[in-house]
Amino acid sequence: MSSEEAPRLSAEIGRGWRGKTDLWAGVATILFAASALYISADYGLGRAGRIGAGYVPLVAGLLLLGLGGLLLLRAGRSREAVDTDIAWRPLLLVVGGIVTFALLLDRAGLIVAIIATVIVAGPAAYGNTILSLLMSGVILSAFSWSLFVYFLKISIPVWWF
Amino acid sequence: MELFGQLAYGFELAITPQNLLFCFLGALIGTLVGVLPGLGPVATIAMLLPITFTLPPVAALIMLAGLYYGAQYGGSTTAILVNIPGESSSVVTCLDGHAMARKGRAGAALAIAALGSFFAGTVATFIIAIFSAPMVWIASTFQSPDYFGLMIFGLIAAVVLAQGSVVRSIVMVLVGLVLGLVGTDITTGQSRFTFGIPQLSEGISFVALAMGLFGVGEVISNLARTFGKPEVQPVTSLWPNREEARRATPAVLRGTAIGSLLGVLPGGGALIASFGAYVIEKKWSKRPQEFGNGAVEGVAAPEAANNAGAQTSFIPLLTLGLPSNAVMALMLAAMTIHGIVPGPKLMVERPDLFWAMIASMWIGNLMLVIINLPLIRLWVMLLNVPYRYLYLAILIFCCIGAYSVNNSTFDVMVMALFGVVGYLLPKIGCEPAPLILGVILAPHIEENFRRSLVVSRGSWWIFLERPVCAGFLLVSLLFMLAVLLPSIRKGREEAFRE
Repeated sequence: MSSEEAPRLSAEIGRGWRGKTDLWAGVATILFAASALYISADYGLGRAGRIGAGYVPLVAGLLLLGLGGLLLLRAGRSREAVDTDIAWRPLLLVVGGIVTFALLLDRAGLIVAIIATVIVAGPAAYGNTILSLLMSGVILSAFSWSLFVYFLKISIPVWWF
Repeated sequence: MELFGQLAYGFELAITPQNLLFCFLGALIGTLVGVLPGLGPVATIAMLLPITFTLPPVAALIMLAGLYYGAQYGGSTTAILVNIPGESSSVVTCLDGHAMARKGRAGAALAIAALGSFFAGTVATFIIAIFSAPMVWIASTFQSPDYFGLMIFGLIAAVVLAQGSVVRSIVMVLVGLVLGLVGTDITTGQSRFTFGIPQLSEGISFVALAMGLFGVGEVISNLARTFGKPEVQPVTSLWPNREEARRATPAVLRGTAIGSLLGVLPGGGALIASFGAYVIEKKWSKRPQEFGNGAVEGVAAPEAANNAGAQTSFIPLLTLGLPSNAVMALMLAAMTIHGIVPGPKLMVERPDLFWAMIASMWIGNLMLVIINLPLIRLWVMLLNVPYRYLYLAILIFCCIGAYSVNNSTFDVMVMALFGVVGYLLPKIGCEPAPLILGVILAPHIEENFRRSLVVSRGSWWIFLERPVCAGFLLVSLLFMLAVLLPSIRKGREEAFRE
């Protein structure tokens, strides 16, 4: 994957420091570290012989903070450009499909959850029509039922009752 | 010849009709998913983990090993026939394998890859059998500080040997460490990073996390690319000619040696083994200009190496309980689900499991040859199924997989969240693989760190007083210094660019 994207990345070199991976990675790291440190602040460090629950989070958080700073400093002379091309449609629909599955499974059962997920996530790829999605949903739910419920006997709600 | 006795014992256990069936099914399903572009071994194993839940542990492990090799080998088929790497370790196979296919030698390339892998797998099986006992013996002398040192060394080496920026990889490991601490702290009973959510009190589901990062993230980025209908090269004769066989044989031997060695290293495994073998073949070849244009050695060596490496990377897991790469981390999680704790005690307490698994690795390799060569037309057909149907099936399997570990829809949500993370991380130049290692090792690192300080009554000197631990920490430090020195860093970057 990275080898395919390499030419596109190198084409974007020289866009200025704002488009650098190091900058964004640095910001993300610092945000993550700061929230981890904030949340774990009252976990307790313990004594030297009996370290508390907050000890390792503190060490990891501080190291992350330092490394995030290093990434920011480096961003000025870094040559790697960030890939700002975010595929919103697949991202939202795929995630939406999974969330649909999670919300429906306990309430409506496996069969309904699968068909709904397929209909929500289906438009992420071009060429899927509502009819082809309904068909895919029915086939996938029949297959999943026979494999996981009938054959492997995994406990999973099949219907809403 | 105690070794042969133990192997024979393993084979006796592994060769039951039931286990053979599961080994076959594992290799078959693994190949099936591996052939599909865009799903690597981590996502494949995570997705198919629930299939093994209801099996007895030996059968489950045998099936998982089959899945792993199948996924690994399936990727090579796609690389050779369509020039799409099914997973990262078959990137190099694309170069010469696909070039051979374009010249009408697709069958020969596939056969060399399959037979080379089988040979490498056989040798690696023996290597595991030979070296496990001494490794277990060494490991049994380890105490908490030594384990702590070993894990730090493992993480550092994994970062140094992995692709991409070292600083960002360390960041990923540390982020993984924090995520791995989520849940109730075993020693103090305190909840950490749970936000009051009861489902988080036992930690983030590792399978959901791995599937989100590797499976869902991959699906999203595949959908972002426009897929044309893949151009599949036709397969004619499956047999290499005399000249090809003559050139492939020594390359397979070299690849096996390099792969076996690189597989044992932390951070090693199939990926680095195949890259390493390719670079060395090209350097030592009398005909370097042929590489990239269908050099037989360029298929034979990396394919042998990645299979050997895939297999020897089980050594640290089975003997030390230390997963050296993302796939092994998942294997560790899978074993834990089945109530098996890998480590020095496994071989002593569950010799049946240990030797049956080693025997099944060889059987799995044999199955691959049997499955792949005659069924090649089936895989070609599979490559023609449009991605717009495939990804829906992948998503549904991921959802069911994430749910069934703990029967929890919360875990499905966790998978969705890490799917977003897995899609965005590569955009800012971060690889998710080191993160996975951090997550799985976090509780172990903390526990051994804690115990060491309890033993030493709070003195940090204990980490330097124990020679084993001091040695590991020293080597880790040297590794870090080495990558931070500009000259060596350049050499490393060049090695990965190949």
